Amino acid sequence: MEMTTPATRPVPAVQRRARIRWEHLPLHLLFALVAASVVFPLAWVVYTSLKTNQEFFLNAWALPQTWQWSNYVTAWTDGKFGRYFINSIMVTSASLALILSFSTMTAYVLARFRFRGNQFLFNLFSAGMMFPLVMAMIPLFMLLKFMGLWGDWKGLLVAYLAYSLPFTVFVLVPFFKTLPAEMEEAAIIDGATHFQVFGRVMLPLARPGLLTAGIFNFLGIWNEYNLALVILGKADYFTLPLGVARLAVQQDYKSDWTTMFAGLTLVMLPTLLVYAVFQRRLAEGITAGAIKG
Amino acid sequence: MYRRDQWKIIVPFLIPSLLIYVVFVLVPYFVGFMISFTRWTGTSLRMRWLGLYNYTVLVQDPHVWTALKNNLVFAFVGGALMLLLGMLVGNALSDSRLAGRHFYRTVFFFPHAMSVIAIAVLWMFIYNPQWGIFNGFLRLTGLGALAKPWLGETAYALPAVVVTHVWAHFGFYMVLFIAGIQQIPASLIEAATIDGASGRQVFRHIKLPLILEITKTALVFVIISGLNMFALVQVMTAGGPAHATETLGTYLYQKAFRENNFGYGSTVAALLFVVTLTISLSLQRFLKREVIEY
Repeated sequence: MEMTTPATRPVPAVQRRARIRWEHLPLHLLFALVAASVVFPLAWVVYTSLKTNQEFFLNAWALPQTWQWSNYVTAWTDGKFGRYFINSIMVTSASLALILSFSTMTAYVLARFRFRGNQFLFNLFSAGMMFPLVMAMIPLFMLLKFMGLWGDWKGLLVAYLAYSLPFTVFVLVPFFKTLPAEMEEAAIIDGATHFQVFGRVMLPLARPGLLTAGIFNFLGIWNEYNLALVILGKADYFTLPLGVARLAVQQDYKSDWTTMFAGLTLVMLPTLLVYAVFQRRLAEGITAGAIKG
Repeated sequence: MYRRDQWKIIVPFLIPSLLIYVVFVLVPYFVGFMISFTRWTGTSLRMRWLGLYNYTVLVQDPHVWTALKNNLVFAFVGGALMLLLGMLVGNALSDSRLAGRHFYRTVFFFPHAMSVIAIAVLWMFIYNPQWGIFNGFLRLTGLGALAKPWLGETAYALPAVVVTHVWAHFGFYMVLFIAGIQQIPASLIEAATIDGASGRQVFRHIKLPLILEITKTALVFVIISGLNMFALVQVMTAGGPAHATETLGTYLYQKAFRENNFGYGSTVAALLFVVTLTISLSLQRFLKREVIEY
């Protein structure tokens, strides 16, 4: 089934490959430099993660003599990155499941039913995006301590759910609004309950919107640092960004840099993968939010 | 559509999210204000009421004002750079005659999707005084005299982190502006070009007025992200050297979670709240101008 996201634009039918023009040469030089500033550091992290520490100190920019895949074994076991990686996967997937189910239900009701306070609630949720997250670190820490949720994943999952709701609801509401009413009406005439209409008719239609919301939340939570920093107590619960940050801040020149680069590669790789696959959808999601909003 | 029994779905679908949102997002902002009137070490739930004491300290604390100034530099200087770059690069990449524009777009946007921690660590190495690529690049181009420990000197640390922030996020604004420019009917631009308008004139007189709405949205985004600066600074410089890169975020973290002074940390957060509110409200008034339709 072909569905469009809220703001897909008609794409020109024929995309011709442009040829390099002489008048664009300065532009290409400039852009190539900026592109290099993105691509080279990334490549550098990956190949540095395959060097020995001695090689790294001798020349930080040279390629490895032989590729030390064992760095990953070390990072995985001694550096605890195995644990961080698994923690990150568990936290991210659990959060995504929670965020998507709660936001979908809420956005569906706000988008498809008319009732008193509807617009107010939408504005209330959206307002959550307008304040810097750092303001919430202390009171959230206190609240979770008070409720006995501080220190492990329970608190982190609740926090991720709560702080992802504004953005996710904001993205999904306009999306649900664009879905056609005919199938919904037909289902109602056939005697479907509200839940059947939602589960069997609207939810399947909403899949592209959920995918967009899911990608944004995946990136946001996989990379999240601030809340994890103040909520997770012990290193056993750390997610990858916390593990990398700790290693990076902790060690001055004395110890194991290559392990840190292996950890850094582990953080970046899934992001790169998701980005490569869903890049276009990501751009469309941003566009939809901005142009509608 | 309206059905009489619609509450049967509205209530169970809405109330749980609303409850979680209110308890964990809205209530903390109020709790934060309460904590700012107390002394609290964060270890037990015992707090001592101090009234306005923390606020009198705040007003005289020079680091707070440095931090606020730095936040405003991130929001307005960094923000202006991001918008400008996003707009110019976005405009250049909207031109279908430019070879490789999809490649550039993909690459420039990527850092925005990356972990802030990864970005911070990456740029610590780029700025490294001994073997960082940045100094290496300067030496290579004959500007070796300018090489310095960028993150280690009070005069250069803040601009260096601002550059990283801009590098990381201008791609996001580029994507926004590309979308905006592509929404402009091609006939408008063609007509102007036929009438002899140069690329610069088309940008200034046709594209710019029509992407005004997006620019407003983008402005709000850059300001919020400037006020929210934390992880990047925390990892790259921890607010140093000598508070030169301190932001309200890193300072309140330092006070609360390192020095166990959660009351004072919350006072810093309260200042951030007031600043955010003031800026948002004045932006709203300032930006309320007619929308240009096409």
